[in-house]
Amino acid sequence: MKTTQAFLLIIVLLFCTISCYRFYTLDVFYFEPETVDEYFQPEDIEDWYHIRWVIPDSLIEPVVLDAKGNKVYGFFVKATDTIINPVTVIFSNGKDKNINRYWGWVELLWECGYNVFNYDYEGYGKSEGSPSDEACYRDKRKAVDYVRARNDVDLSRIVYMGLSMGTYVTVYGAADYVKPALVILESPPASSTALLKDSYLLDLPGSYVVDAADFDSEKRIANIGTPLFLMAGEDDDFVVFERNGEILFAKAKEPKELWLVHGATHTDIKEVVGYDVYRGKISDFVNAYLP
Amino acid sequence: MCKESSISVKTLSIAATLGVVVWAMIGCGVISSVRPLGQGKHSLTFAVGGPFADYYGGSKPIPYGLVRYRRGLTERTDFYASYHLTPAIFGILGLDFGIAKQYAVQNSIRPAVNIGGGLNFFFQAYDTSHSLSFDPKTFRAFPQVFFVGSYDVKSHLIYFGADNMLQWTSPYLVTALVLGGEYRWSRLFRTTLETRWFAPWENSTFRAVNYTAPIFKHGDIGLVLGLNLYF
Repeated sequence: MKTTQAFLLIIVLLFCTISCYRFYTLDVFYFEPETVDEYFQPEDIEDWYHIRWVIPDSLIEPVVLDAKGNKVYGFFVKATDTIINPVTVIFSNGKDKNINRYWGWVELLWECGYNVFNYDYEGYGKSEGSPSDEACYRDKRKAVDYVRARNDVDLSRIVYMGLSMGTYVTVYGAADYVKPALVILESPPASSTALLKDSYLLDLPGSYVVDAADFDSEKRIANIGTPLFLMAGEDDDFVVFERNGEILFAKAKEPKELWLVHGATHTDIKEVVGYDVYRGKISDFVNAYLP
Repeated sequence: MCKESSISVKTLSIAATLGVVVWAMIGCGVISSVRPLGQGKHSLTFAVGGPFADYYGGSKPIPYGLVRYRRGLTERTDFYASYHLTPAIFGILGLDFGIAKQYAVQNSIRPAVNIGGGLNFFFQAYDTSHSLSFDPKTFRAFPQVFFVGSYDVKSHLIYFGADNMLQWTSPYLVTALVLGGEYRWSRLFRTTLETRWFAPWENSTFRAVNYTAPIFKHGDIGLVLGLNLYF
């Protein structure tokens, strides 16, 4: 019997030891980069990116940042000369593909009369390195530093905007790095933990299955210290508003504005409402605080 | 629907795995004790299965696995303890233990009734920076209570019941309704097959994962297989 008990004890210790090593994570759920050799190549552009090619090439400035030895690529799009003292938007992308995928948003923001800086996270597009929550936050800091260092940017008129996973980065930048004038979030998940609980009901931390556990806007949103505009699709069945955006909006401090779009899902708000309405909503919010 | 509004198959597959791995934690494995072992007797069970989800090419049960040891304390009371295999690949230590007692024996149409309860523990022994970590904030404990009625049919068992986990946040009670059978191959070896309706009162549409077997858009049906050694 003692032999059996000793054997069982060894088995138990072995199992406990096995549990102390992470063989697998579900971070692939967060990061789906697509690398490219060059941006805006026709073979890389899908129709459903809805790119209209409205920005003159002369206003698109390629940018390369250094993020802990990794080159991070982006574009600074200048507002037309007719705009006096334009707002500058730092736009943080979602979790898949690269800048090509999100250029439609850049075009719409530029059409609002803004400078726009858009960049690819490490591991995305041409950017070197591998994506992680830490890398994304680092890239955001670099993007903010770059924009703030430009002599054609009014530091009091910088806006952070993020889409989906990019909203984690946006909220982080506002709460934990440099406060912008305004924050705009589109289809924001609340946190890794909230996404997980949305699926499984049990109160388990997101860090159980993903390394990107610091993707957590829920803990930061109250500290962004700036007016917030949050938009979400009522029919978003991926990042369900009631269990994500609604939580964030409730925790955010005033002033804040919510736009819940009937019939829209995760990434098609601008198509559902039409570009004029989409631009109008963003412009109205920005003009209310940055006339 | 616009392609941009759809999520890649791979993403859904991963999300499904992510979500239902943990849905499968609801009442992990097969029912811990359908009938008492008898004093001094032991059993070892390997169980695998979970709710149906769409991943890697089709709808199938999530393979949530555990091993369970059971010992008869008295003729009617068992002690059980389990080690959860699937969380281990994520660096999560998952254990459960508890007591089950038979409160009624089978009598004609009245089923035998077993009621049991215990605790499920989960602890992240491996942190996101890829090193050992013993952060107490990652510790979770969920009380568990189960009820099972069973019929002995020519030495095999048919049973039904509910397996419930409790927590301090909403939803406070997370249930799996159970219908199962145990086939006795020999004195030593039996197999169990359960079908479970996980989270039957939770709307399973509009979730980040694609549950493929809900009933009236609630919960998700799953299958769990148990291999039982009695000694």
